[in-house]
Amino acid sequence: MSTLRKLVLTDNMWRVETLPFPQPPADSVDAVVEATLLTPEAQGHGLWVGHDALSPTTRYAGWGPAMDRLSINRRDLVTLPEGSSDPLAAGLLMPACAIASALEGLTITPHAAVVGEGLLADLATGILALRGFALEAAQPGADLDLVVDTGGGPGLEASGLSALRGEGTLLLLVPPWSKPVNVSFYPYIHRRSLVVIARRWHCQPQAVGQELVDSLRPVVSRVVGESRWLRPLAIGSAAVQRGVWQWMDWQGVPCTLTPQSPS
Amino acid sequence: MNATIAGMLSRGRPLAIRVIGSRFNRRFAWVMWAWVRASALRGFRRVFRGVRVEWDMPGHARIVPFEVAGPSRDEVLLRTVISTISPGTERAYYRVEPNAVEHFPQYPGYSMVGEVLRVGSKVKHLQRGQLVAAPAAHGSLAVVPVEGVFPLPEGVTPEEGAFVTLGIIALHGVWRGELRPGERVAVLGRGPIGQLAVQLCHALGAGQVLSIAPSRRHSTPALRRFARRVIATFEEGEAILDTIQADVTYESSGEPQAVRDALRATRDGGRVVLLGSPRGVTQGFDFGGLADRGISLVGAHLSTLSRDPSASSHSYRQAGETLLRLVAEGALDIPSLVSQEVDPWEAGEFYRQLAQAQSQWVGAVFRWDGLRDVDRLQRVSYWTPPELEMARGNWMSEASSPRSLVEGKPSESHGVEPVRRPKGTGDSRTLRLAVIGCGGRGSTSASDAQRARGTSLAMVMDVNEGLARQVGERLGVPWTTSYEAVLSDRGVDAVFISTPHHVHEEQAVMAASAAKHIIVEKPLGHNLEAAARIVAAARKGGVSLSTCLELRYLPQVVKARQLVKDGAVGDLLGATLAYHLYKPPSYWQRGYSGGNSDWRARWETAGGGVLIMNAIHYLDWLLYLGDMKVTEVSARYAVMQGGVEVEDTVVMWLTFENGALATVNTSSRVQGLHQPPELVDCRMWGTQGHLSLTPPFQFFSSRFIDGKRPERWHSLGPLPRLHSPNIEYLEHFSNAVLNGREVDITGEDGLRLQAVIEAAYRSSREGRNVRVEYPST
Repeated sequence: MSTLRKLVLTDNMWRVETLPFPQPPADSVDAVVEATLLTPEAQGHGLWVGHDALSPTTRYAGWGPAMDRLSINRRDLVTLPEGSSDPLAAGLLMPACAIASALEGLTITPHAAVVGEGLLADLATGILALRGFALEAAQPGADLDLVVDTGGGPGLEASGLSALRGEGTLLLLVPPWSKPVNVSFYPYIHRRSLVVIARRWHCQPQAVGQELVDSLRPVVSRVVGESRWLRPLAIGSAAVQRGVWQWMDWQGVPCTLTPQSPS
Repeated sequence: MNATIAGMLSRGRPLAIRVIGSRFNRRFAWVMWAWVRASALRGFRRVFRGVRVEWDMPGHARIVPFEVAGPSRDEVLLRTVISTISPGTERAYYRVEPNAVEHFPQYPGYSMVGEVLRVGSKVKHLQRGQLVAAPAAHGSLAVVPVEGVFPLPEGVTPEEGAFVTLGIIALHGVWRGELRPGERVAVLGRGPIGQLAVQLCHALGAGQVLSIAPSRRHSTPALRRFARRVIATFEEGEAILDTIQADVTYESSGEPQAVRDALRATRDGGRVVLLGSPRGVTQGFDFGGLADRGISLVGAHLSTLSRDPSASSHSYRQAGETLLRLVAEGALDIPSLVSQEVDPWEAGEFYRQLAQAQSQWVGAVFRWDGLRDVDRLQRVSYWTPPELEMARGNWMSEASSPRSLVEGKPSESHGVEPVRRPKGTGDSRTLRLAVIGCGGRGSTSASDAQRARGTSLAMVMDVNEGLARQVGERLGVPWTTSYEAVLSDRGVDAVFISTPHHVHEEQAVMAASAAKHIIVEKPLGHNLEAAARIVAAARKGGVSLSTCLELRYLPQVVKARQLVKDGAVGDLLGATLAYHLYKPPSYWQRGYSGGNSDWRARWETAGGGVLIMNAIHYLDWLLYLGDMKVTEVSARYAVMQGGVEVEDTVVMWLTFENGALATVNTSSRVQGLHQPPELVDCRMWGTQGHLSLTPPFQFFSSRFIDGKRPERWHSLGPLPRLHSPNIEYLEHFSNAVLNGREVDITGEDGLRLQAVIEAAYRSSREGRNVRVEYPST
């Protein structure tokens, strides 16, 4: 019986378990995962990049459990554009495309701020700069046209709305683990005629053109190379750090690292 | 939105400024008095006085005088014709719902049409007498910055123009939704803003417009002209929202949970515009779902609409002009939104009603043009002291007329001192009245007797010496503890018996024997037999006898009776009366004046409880309005309060002589209805119409009555202002007696009423229907 390896968070430490790999359904793809990008908030899920076990040249990305093999329904697969050799950069293209495509529809003057810190904030900052926005601090009363909230908070309280001008736009990057919240729209949205655009950063938007992807590659590469919020995962010794993304290179994981058989 | 926001509409400047007179803040009134004058003097401007709606505390509205400095260089002084009420917004602020301003007093309203009376030196394009639409609070006058003023185009009526700010709000919302021609639109909510949004989307080229609300309550016939479908989710099920697939959805209801409904009604990738102000927290909102469906959420609040007419985006002026143009072109149907006209003097009752129940009407307007000129606007001197109380009555001098202002002449009189109606006008004779019983009610009647024309207070009497002395000395009239002394006094023409019910008979019979005219506080007697003996004694003595049912003189009742006589209702089919209030246990034991007699609590002395003591006035309305006779009664009463014999709750039905039925439900144990307020719901309907003496007073008739369009609800107003129904009653009584006429409200009236009450008590005791037995008179 074939097996898979799965990252499990126990006592604030990552470890690897080995599990039996179930037979994929007929309409699914058996994806071999090359790397998984993890955040502690995601509780064992992450952005993954991999390829079809039967067709290694076609690369996919998606959001799912941190495992080295996944059975994915075809319609949920995101096919990565060509030229995505580095799996880490390829994975980050997903949130980059989500941010960039959300900005495409906006016809606003370019005074913007990014709220939150972390990998997504770095990514958003780079994309806004690429798009010609004048980046400012999200101070109350800053009269900004756009605020990109990468914090992933449950509501709107910390989203930097006070920095927006009347009729400004909030781009809310919604994490996959978001839950319904109670929200008062009067002070946050209605009273100041704000626009809220929400985007899932872990889903590649439909109809992303090659041109957009190509334009984002330098930004993504820079973030991968420079961001202090991105670190490789060291099995057995890596304490989880809030806000820090860790990436798991499944191809390079020695099988001798704390593998465990299913009980 | 309220005057605070109306102020914001004019870039933060107050529009019609400052109350002069507040129940809570007389000292502040002097500060404001000085402030207005300082502002006026600084710009060499006049000071004007009018009246406006004030919410002095949550849930309480009234009309108060106020003053304002005349227009500065870029302002305009307007005399209001109509101001439009925004029911949802004003209800929210009146009741201090979530997200409403919490400080009081507040001055509601933000949309009106007025007549230009004065313009500032920099205002060149407006003329005196011109009708304009503007954002201003509900008041008889307003000073507004000229940039917020829109001359009414030809063909636009004041009624239509008065919706200008509401229309701008709706249009701003439509613009925020970036509506494109041919798009499918859903509008949630059918208040004025929602219906305006429907009309505007239709006029601006939307493909299909769907109007959605829980019920069809506010679905006007005109709505179908603009909306492809009118959906009631209570009837059709909420699942219908998922089938709508609108490109743009406008949420105008302000219901916090409706934001989620709006998302359901919108296609993936569409827009949801928050046009109404959400009054509370939306529970369980899923931003992830918003992201998954690619829907944009767009706020739309008027305060962000640019005031700069040269702005590259939409501006306030552009919105106002566009709206009025569409009205002039017939692309909008504003009159369909107006189903209620309110006399400003009835503002208190109107808002009370608005706050208590879901209205059946869409929009309402205050008609200021029904006020007397002197009330609407007058110029006052710099030295006129502040008006601290607003009395209902002739509170302004008749001599001061705003006409002189329009003509550019100074008013001859600046007198604004509240004036009591001159006593004895046109008739030097007075009826000399002795008030018998100096409890709370008697004391009030004694005071009213001094104020009523044609009546003088000769003396007061009470067996309680302390009470008699206190009231006599306070009013400066003789007092006594001896009823015989009153009857033997040749300076007394009539007695007003305001004593415990069981004493009425003896005192009235004695008065009749002494040839004194008689007023008996309701009920006429503590039982039917006693009442009959009173009537008989008065006849035998040849004196006038009246039962004091003074609430017949309330202007709305006078008007209602006239409408019934004119055939507005037709043949009576049914009626209903609910009268609810709260009487504390102490009321039954000691009354409101704190006496030491518990006569109210006992059958033997009071003759009954809430029905005979309190609801009797309103039961009288049911009989009086249509001169109808009750033939049969079925009733149940209950005594739910310890230590009291008499009933505090009654449910009964009446059968009228033509077979029509009426229900009566009254209780004095209803929490939240301490006195005041009381709750009176009194309506009657017939073959031709429906009349409501439930505030706001209104009628509906299939006939052309009172100059009002058929098949439509109309206010009973404008109604004359009344100082006090009791004073009115006394004046009518005196006038009738002095002129040898029969009094308006007779002893027989009281007797008939008591026969119905007696039948109700019998019905309850015997557990059967009881035919009403009217004593032969």
